[in-house]
Amino acid sequence: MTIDELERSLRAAGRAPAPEPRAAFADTLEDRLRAGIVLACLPEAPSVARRRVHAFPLAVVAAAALAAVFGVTTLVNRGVLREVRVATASDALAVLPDGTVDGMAVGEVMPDGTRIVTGEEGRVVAGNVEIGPNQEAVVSGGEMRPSPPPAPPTTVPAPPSSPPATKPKPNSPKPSSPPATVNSKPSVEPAPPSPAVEPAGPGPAAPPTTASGRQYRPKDTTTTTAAAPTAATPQPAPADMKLAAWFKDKLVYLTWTSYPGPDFAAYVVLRSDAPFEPRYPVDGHTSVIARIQDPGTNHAFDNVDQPDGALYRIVAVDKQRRPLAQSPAVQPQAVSSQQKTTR
Amino acid sequence: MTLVQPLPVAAPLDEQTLVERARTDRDAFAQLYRLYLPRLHAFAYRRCGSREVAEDVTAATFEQALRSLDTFQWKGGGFGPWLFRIAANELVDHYRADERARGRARALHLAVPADATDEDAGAGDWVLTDGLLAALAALNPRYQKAISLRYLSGLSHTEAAEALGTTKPVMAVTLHRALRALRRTLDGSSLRSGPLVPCGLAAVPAEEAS
Repeated sequence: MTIDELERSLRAAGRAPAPEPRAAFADTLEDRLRAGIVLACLPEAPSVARRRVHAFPLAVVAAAALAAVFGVTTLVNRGVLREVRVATASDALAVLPDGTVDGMAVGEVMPDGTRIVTGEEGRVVAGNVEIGPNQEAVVSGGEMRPSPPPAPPTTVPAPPSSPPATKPKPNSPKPSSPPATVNSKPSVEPAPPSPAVEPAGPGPAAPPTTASGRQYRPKDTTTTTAAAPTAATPQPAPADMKLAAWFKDKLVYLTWTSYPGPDFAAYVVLRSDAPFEPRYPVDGHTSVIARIQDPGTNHAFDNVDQPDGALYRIVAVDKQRRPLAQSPAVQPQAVSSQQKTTR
Repeated sequence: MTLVQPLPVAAPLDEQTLVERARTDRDAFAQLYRLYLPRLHAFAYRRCGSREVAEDVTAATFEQALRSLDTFQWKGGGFGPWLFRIAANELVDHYRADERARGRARALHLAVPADATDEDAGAGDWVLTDGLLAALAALNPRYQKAISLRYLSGLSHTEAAEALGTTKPVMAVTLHRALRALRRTLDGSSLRSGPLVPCGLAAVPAEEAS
């Protein structure tokens, strides 16, 4: 085959029809990109940076290494280096500043702005700081800074004069959106201005929460009376919100597209056990795990024994607790070790 | 025969605005995603002939683009060549990581339709030839990327040069050397691209086809 023939064949190949990307693939990928969840699909592939380093002459590499050591030392001395290295990690998730959800492994570097959440059996040690089960921490200024320890569970709903839902969290990541406070606020149910429109039944609709914001499903929360709505039962909202859910061990990370419309009052995060889809108004299979009044908040954590057996839905509601929009029911996907992003 | 129609691409200014917005706005990035998804997927598919690999590469490309968007600087070629450069790197990495792909009998769509005048010919009517995939994957990464970007991506010569990170003259030289290297690889291999074979026949080495 001559070069001309080869070139003709290549040109023909370039004009050959290729199948359209599958809709399911395209939608899933768009959801992940919108959620900012970036996981390496080709984990074995070396990064561009590493590949180029291999091409450098040894002398250049050595010089760079010396410079790096000098630079790192300088930065450490000046307190500029803003990352921590994980010494111990179990049952923990990290949400990197770019929104990437990742499991944690020993030796990984967590950049400034990373949010760390531990599960019921979780423990993370980085530097001289350790956090235990059901805790949150934020990497800030080169240190892992734990959130305040959880207070004893308090029951909700709270009175109308209860504190605002958004708890300020300094040094929180994701500057483009408010701090990750979905679970760092009490599940405050504002008093309904009209009688009994809140569709949640007793118990599960207002689960115990902790001051740290982690909200857990009570052991017996799967029973919710379906007869709760008594007036003006809301109609199902259009399924025009997107929700993505990921889990590692028992820890579930949820993120969704914000509701941009008017009349927004809160996001209601729902969970059910498969195969029953979470519904709003809640039914006997649905639990309300969070109510978030900040329209800019777009993520939440949950802790559940069998994440892959749970289904989640996010519903935007107005002040009368009527649904404005909702997502489809979503089953969390595992954050596998192969998909981990090493930072 | 249905040729792939070039997708409508936004005017450079609009796309540049969209890219700037995409740095902080996921909706804007989603627009870029929808704009380039078919082209990138087709590029990856033509290069590897596997829908699964094409999807993996496409996903990795957009994810890498999202991660690196902060570092992207708008140049002459714009966003498209930058995206295709990432895709070409991902493809090279894929084949480097998966040596088995070289021996796999999956064929590259490196052929013309059985009857180029047949307007009804569908994708299934395209003849696949064996060996080109292995030969292409055996080239050095820069040659792989040059050939892929120039012939399989749908980019113009200028855009392909931009995607390769070089100038048009250097791209031309690189491409010529890449084609010579590819021919040498094919000549030295038992697997040749071989003559085009009718649809329905398995792609076989040239010697066996004859």
